This record gives sequence, C-alpha cells and structure tokens, in this order.
Amino acid sequence: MDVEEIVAYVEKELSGIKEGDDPNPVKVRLLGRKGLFSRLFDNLKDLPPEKRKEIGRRLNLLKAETEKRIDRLQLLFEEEKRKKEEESLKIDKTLPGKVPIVGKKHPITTTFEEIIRIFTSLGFEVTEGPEIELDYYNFEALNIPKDHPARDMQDTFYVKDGVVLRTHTSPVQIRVMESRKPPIRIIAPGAVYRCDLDISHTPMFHQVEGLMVDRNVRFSDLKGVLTLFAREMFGDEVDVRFRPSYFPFTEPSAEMDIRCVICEGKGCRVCKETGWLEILGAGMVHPQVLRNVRYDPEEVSGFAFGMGVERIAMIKFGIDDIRQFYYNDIRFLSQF
Amino acid sequence: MRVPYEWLKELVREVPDPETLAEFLTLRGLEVESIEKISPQFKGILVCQIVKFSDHPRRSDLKIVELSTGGGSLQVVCGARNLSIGVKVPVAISGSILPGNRKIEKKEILGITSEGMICSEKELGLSDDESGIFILPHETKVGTYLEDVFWVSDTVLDINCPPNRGDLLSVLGIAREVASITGGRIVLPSFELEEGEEDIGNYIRLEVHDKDACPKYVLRMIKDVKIGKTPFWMRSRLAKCGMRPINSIVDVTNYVMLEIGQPLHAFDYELLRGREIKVQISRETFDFRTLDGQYRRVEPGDLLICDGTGAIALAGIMGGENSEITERTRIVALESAFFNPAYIRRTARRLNIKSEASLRFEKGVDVEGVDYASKRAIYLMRLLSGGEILKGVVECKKEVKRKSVYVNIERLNRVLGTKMEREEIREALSSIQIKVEKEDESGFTLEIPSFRHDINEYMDIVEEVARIKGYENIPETLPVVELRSIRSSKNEILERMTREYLSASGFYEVINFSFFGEKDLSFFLLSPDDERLRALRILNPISKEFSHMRTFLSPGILRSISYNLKRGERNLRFFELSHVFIDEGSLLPRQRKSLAIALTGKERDLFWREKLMDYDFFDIKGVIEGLLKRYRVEYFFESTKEPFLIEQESCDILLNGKKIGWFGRLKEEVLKAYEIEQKVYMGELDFEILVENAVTHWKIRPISKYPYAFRDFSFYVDDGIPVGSLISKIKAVSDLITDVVVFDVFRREKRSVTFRVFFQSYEATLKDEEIDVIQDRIIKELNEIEGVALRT
Repeated sequence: MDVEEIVAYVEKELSGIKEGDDPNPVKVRLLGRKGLFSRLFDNLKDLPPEKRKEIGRRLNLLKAETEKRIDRLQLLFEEEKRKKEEESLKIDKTLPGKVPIVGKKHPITTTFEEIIRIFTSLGFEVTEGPEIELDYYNFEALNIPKDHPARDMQDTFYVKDGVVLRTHTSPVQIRVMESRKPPIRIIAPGAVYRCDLDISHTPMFHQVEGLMVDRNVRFSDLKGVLTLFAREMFGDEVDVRFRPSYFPFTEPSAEMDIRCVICEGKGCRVCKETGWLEILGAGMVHPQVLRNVRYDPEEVSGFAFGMGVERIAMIKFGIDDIRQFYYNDIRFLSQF
Repeated sequence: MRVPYEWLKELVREVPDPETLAEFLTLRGLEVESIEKISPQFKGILVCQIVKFSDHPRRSDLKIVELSTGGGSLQVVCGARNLSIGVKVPVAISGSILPGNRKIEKKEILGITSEGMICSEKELGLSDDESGIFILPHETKVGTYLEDVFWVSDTVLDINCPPNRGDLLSVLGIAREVASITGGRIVLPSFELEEGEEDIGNYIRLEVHDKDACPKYVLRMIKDVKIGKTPFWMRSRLAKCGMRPINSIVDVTNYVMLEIGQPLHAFDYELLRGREIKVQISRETFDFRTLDGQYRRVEPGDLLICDGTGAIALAGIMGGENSEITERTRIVALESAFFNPAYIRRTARRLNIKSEASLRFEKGVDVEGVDYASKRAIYLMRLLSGGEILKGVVECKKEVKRKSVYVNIERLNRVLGTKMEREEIREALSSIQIKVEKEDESGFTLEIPSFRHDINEYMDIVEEVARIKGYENIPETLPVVELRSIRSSKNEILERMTREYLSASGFYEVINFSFFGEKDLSFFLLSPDDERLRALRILNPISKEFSHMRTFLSPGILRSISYNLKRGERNLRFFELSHVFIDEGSLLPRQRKSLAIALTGKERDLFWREKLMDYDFFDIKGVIEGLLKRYRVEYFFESTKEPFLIEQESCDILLNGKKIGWFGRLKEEVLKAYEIEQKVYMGELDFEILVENAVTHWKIRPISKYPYAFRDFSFYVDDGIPVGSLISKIKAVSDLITDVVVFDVFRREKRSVTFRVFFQSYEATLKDEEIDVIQDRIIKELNEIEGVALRT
C-alpha cells in the first residue's frame, strides 16, 4: 500500500471539485460505506503489524483532512445553491404596491371633533338641539323680538308660523338653561341654516355654540378661555385680539380675531387687507336672556360664544370657497 | 355707513390718518369694511379766475375768455353758457392730462389762439354733469392745481355699524366716536338763520294725534325758492356717501341727514290740501302712491302724515307722490320729527321698504337734535335755492326725558374682571357724553344722552366702559370651577365608532344639505302612505331642488355619486350620518339621525397583479353585517318591498322584529333620474334605534388554551334552499362549533356548497372521535332536509 499514491489520488479527487459544485459524488467515493477509506482500512489488516500502525496513523490523518475539506466544499455548495434559489425570487420592486383602500371623515367632522376635544378637556359637555326650531328659541328668548333690526342680519328660512330653520346654534343655550340650574358648561355643535348661497355662504353650515354660566363668571374669563382655545386650535404662536361687536343676546359682545395665517398679518385678500381673521363671536350672556330663562342676573353671570366650523376649517386647510364642503367631490374629500 | 374723510375732519379736530383711524374704529366695535381712496384722474389742471370774456369774431356761440392765473393770464376759447366774471374755474392748460389720458395742447380755434380748455365736471371725471363749465367754490385759491385741492382727493371709510347704534349713521355720529378716541372736540357747523317777516303760523297748522307714536314734530317753511342744481361740494359728498343728487331742496334734506343723522322730508306746500298737516295712525286700508311711483298698501296702525284731505307720506319711511318737490316747487314745508321706532319698523318691514330715512327712524334718532336739523336744513335751502324763510316754527312735542342708569362700581369690575378706579370709569364715560348725575359710595347714577337708544341698563354701561377702555386692556383669566368628568353619550360613542369603522372600510363621509326637492320623492317611487313623503316644506326655499327638509339621506348620496361620476370618478364608497326630519303634525317635526352607505364601481380600477371584480350585493351586505356586529345587536335580513330596490338583490334589516332599514341594489329607473349609469348598492338605517339597542360595554371571552380543529363538508343544495338557513342549522348542532365558513359555491347541473366547520373546546383538546360524532350529526341533519344531499 503506497500511502503517497493514495495521497495523490485523494488530492486529485478533491481538487477535481470546483468550489460551489456538489461534493457528494466524491464524498461517496472516498468516505462512503464502500468508499476508498473504508476499503483501505479493511485492507490494513493484511499488512504486517509494524507497518499497519504507521500506515493506519497516516490514513487516519488523511481521512480527517479529507472530511474537513469535503465539509467545507459542502458548505460552499449549499451557499451556492441558496444563492441560486434566491436569485430565482427576484421581482421588479418598482412595480406599484397595493395601497389599502381607506376612506376619510368629512373635514367638517374632523374640525368638529377637534373643537369638541378642546372644550371637553376644559370641562364643557356636549349637547344638541333641534335644527328646526321655534321662533321663540331662535329669536325671542335671545332678545331678538319681532321687527328687531338684528333679524335682518340673518336671512331666515321659514317653515310655518312660529317655526324656522335655526339660524344659529344659540337656541341651544336657552334650551339648556331652561332645563337645568347653573353651573353650566356646555358646547352645542350642529347644522344651521341661512337663505344665502355664494362663494362665502351656503344655505346650510355648521356652528359650535358654547355657554358657561355660574356665580361670578367674568369677561376676563371669556378672554382667557377663548384665547386658550385659539392656541389649541391654531398653535401656541397664534396672535389673538378681541374687538367689540354686537349680538342682541350678549353684552358686552366681542369678536375674536387671529393674526392672518396666510399673510402673517401683512394684509392679503383672505383677511381683506386687515391682517386679521375673524374666528368667533362671543360675549357675556345678556341680562335679559338670563331673565328670560328665570335666572337672576344679580346672582349669576355667564359667557357664550359661537363659531363657524367651515370658517375654521377653511383657515386651517386654506380653502377659499365654502361650497367645496358640500360638493362631496372625492378629489376634495381625499385630501384630508 | 360711508364716511368721507374730509367731511369727518370738518366736524372733529384731530383725526389720525385714515388707516390708523380705521384700526382705532375697528377696535371700538365700528368695523371698517373698506378704505376707499378717491383720487383725481387728471393732472396739471390750473385754478383760474374769469377776468372778462367777449364774443368770438367768427362764431357768436363761442367766447374768448381772459383768465387770471394768479401771477399771469391766459386766453381760452370756450363754448359754455354759464360763463360769468369773477368765478373760479378749472383750466386744462397746455401739457395737462384729462381722464382717459387725454392730453391738452395749445391750439387755434377759427383763428383765435386758445391756451387751454375750461373744464366741465364730466370732462374732469368728477360727475356726469356736462351742462357747463365747473364753477369752483369761491374759496378755492387761484393759481393752485386742482388735484391739490383737498376735496378732490379723498378717502371714504365704509363702516359696518352695529345694528343697535342708530346714532352712528351720520358723519356727526362717527365724529363723536372719533372725538372720544382722540380727545378731540366736536365742531358743529355754525350758521345764522335769517328769517323773513311773514309768520309761518299764517301758512300752516299742525296736529299730532298720537304723541306716543310721534313725540316730536317740527315744521319750518321757506318760500320763493328757485330750485336748481346743487353745487358740486354738496353733490360730491352725497355721491361719496352713496346717494344720488336730485335737486337743491331734496339734496339738502339728504345732506343734513348724512351730516347729523336726522332724516327730513320736504313737501311742496302748494300741493297740500287744506293748509294743514296731521300726524295720525291709519284706521283703514288703502293704496298709497309713494314718490318712487309704486303703490303701497297702507293698513290700520300705520303712522301717516296727512294734509286736510288724506295721506301725503308714510311717516319716516317715504313721502307721497302727491306732495313731491319738483322743479316747479316755490314753497317748501320741511318736516323734522322723531317717530316711535316700533311704528316705523313694523310698517317698513311689512312693506319691505328700506329707505335711508326708515333705516334711521327704526333705530331711533336724536329727539334733542330734531329742531337743530330743521334749522340747519332750512338755512342750507336758502343758501342753495334762495327765497325767504318764514318766521318761526310750528311744532308739536311731548316732554322726553333723558334716561338715567345706576352703576355699581364694584359690580362693574366684577363682571369685567378688572380693577378700575371710580375716576377712570367716569372719564371713560364722559368721553362719550355720558355724565354723572349723582353719586354715592358704591357707584353713580348716569345721564344718558338722547341719541343713545341702545343704553338702557347697567350692562349697557359695562359694555361702554369696556369698549372705551379697550378690550385689549381687560386681563385674561381662567375661571376657577369644580372639577367634574365629562362623559361621552352613547350616541357620541357610537357615532365615532361608526365613522371610524366605515372610513377604515374605505368609505368617505359626505355631508349634503338637509334639503331635497319634490322631485327626489318621486324619483324614489315612494307609495302614498310612505313616511318619507312627510317632508316639511320650506316657505322661502333657496331653489326648487331644495324645497323640503329631507326625510331620508339616500337622495343626497345619489347626488354626490352622480356629481363624481360626471367627473370621471367611477369607484365610489360614501356614507352620511346626519339628521332627517319627519313631519308628524306636531309643531316641530321629529328629528332623528340616519345612516346611509353606498358603493358603486369596484375596489379600484386597475391593479397589475389581479383583475378586480365589480361591487355586488355581497359587498354592501358585508359592510352592513360588519357594522351590525360591531353594535352587537341581534339582526335579521328579510326580503324587502322598498319600491326603489331590485327585490332579488335587496333586503330589509330587522331588529327585534321591527324594520330599521334596508340595503341592496337600486332600480335602474331611480339611478337614471340621477343620471347614474352604473350599478349602485346602498343601504340606509335608522341610527337612533341602533344606538338604543347597541351594546357599548361588554366582557371579552377568554382565549381557549386548546387547539381548534376543522372539517369540510360539501352538499348539493337546491336553489330554493337558502344557504344561510343551513349555516344556522349547522351552528345549532353543537356548542363546540365556533364558526361556519362557506368557502366554495359552484354549479354543475346542481348547486354545490362547501362548508368549513370549526370546532373548539374550552375544556380539552378535542379528540377525532368526538368530532366524528358531531360530523355525523351535521350530515344527518342536513341530509334530512329535502333538496340537500351530501356530495360524496
């Protein structure tokens, strides 16, 4: 048995395997049950004992070396095989993905929700009232008697004698005050109606009314609460101002403006060159209104406010035509 | 109220520039809507004085005019008829520019050199008047350029006055506010009334029947007037305020109204029947022709001005044609009065007249200013139209006392959240002419000026103090209140849940107007007893399409679908959750929330990996089932009789045996009415009943520790047998069955349906033998049904 010859043979067999090729056929020939080493070890017993030990030692070394090399080639082969498999998985990753189909809430709804979130966090409770309302609640109880000039400010839809489509959410103030005792902190979101249609008016739009009545509610509280609201709604850096105004059911009455978000106060078309955008109307509840609901103006005071939801959404999203909210154009709705 | 800046400056000293003034007024609650600049459209027009003029040698209708320019002289050929020596006129000299970029050069006219052109108002673009050359006010300085004269350039502030502040509807009213801001002084125009010898009492008699309706009425008269054109200065002020000049008598009444806020009316004395004027309340109904030529229906209770025979004016609203001032009028009777606002308001509103006079009378004018206005106007009439003022006045009045209001200082500060001193408050109020009448330790009694009809009680004073001090000077505080929790109502919770579920499922929320038209009702083919026909009609709708309050949401959603389809958007999923209104005969209708859901087209048009199917019945059914499961209500679907649905592809939805809605496919004729040409599946549910029945609090079921198992079963099922009933049947077989899924339906001669049935126990892992027992029972139960057979 010529060990050198065996080494050369094994070497030839092993080096015949290219890296990445399957080493198994060679493995079977060399290391298999009927392979080379198996046969050689069988033959060892025919050798004289003095040689048997030496050759046996060398064959064992050679076998271990062979196993090591085959194992390595096996790993390389498997690696290569995996790569080939993965290669076949290749896709064009630039093809479009499948975007889930989701819808959206109407921007008026999301704006409502934001306003409601702010005021409920301040302890105001949400209430609702009828959209088709008695003249009494919409006007009379709010200190707007028949023939009052303030009725001209709101083009009213009439349904029948003494019944109108509410022109504002303020009648909810009366309904709430009639049905409970102070302290009261409520907001009333909802649809309102005025007979008008152009780029800045729709016959239906939405308002949120607010009312706080308690002992010693002050005008300064009105300013504080509404300024807080403006900062929550439009950001901490927003500039706020209060101007005297007129509403028959509040006194003193005010309007709150924020610094125009479009031109930052320099003056533009949106703010009519004034640098300010009107956000809401407010005021201290008029003593006559308190008397109308049998509250004693000497005992309690309160403030009320009302804001247009569309107006706030228009400012937030940069919408210039209020009618957009009601076309329900999917190209509009999908942008929110 | 439109306020010319130059006019305002005449009545109050110290006026800041227009922009600053606008800011001040806005912060005082007098919102300036616009600042309009009026600037001349000409350049280089020289003010000259006519020295003399003579006929043109070749044409006698032309004159050669010699003009003084102050330092030199000019010669101009002119064809105007109103030349007169000594008057000041605007001359377009060589190099000057007239409106429309018209350049003026020196030229020869029939052999005579003309160094320019004397202009008419029209040529200067100042008015439409081209009847002659523009005679300038005498105080205009010769040698100056007309464009530098103050009244040519001006700024008009358009001020949005609060509707309760009638006192602001004049230049004087605004001037009072300005004075209170700047600390300036009001300067009323000064004039001296030159009355003639003849006594007015010899001419006219006055009778006021109801002094409550008319607490003050003043008549003054002027005779021998020559009515003509009003001078430019007055006409231009009227025009700037938005009023049309008429003649030299009527213009004065308007001018004084704009100046001090008192509406006036001039009658042609010679047209009055019976030399008397009576202020009385009508007792009958008749038609009366007002000076705009229209007949107005007078009714009992209307306040009238009458002569000896009948009505000559609707008091405070509009004069009658029968006593109107014309070019031929020689004697004028001038009315200045205070009418009770309630009378004016009622009549003006009923007749739908909004005149400048009624606008002011219905808010209340200054009763103490009635006589001053009368004098001022009669003075101006003589100034403009000549003639002789009759001596004295005929008047009728009742004592009108100034109001007084008591204010407690501590309470004022408490309402505002301020710490103002007594003196500060006194000062603020005195700047708007509210004077302290009496005072005590805790406050003052204030005397309210007669023009402030808006101040009646203590809170009105609080507002004035806050306004004068400036809202910006009132602190911001947060109220100290008792903590309490704010709970969402069940309705709020479910609305939010519904919107989230539907938008997450691909539906866009729409909001439509709450109106629909009669057409919508007929489009939906509703039978006469249908509740949805009980729609409230609006008496003054915005259009025919929006004439009623909607009783259901579906028509609006179809409109939204139609709108989008027309714009090329074919795949639409919409929902609306809003109010509908049913007229039940009571004063107010029943208002409830409704939920409508619609889909049309397919999930998306194109996707490269797969072909997408059109939406069908099972898409709308799935969405509604998913929703009802979220409400945790027990629902049933039943065949429907809705007239607008295709019965074979539609269902009613029942809750506790009561119908709460429907869903399915709309008939093509309904869709066609809305110009929709593709299939639409939709549903509408009574949201209020859902909210009542929905479960918002529940306990979850623990998850079983043991694995589940499933078996598949295929049956031949006759077409007449609803698969839904088989599902229920299978579920009923054992408590261990957790779900039954239909995963294949196909047809080869007979319909074949494959169910996958899931089994699970909470107590142990199920053994095959246990499942076998249930399996056998499922097969047995179903096989017993006529028309169902296990497929083997």
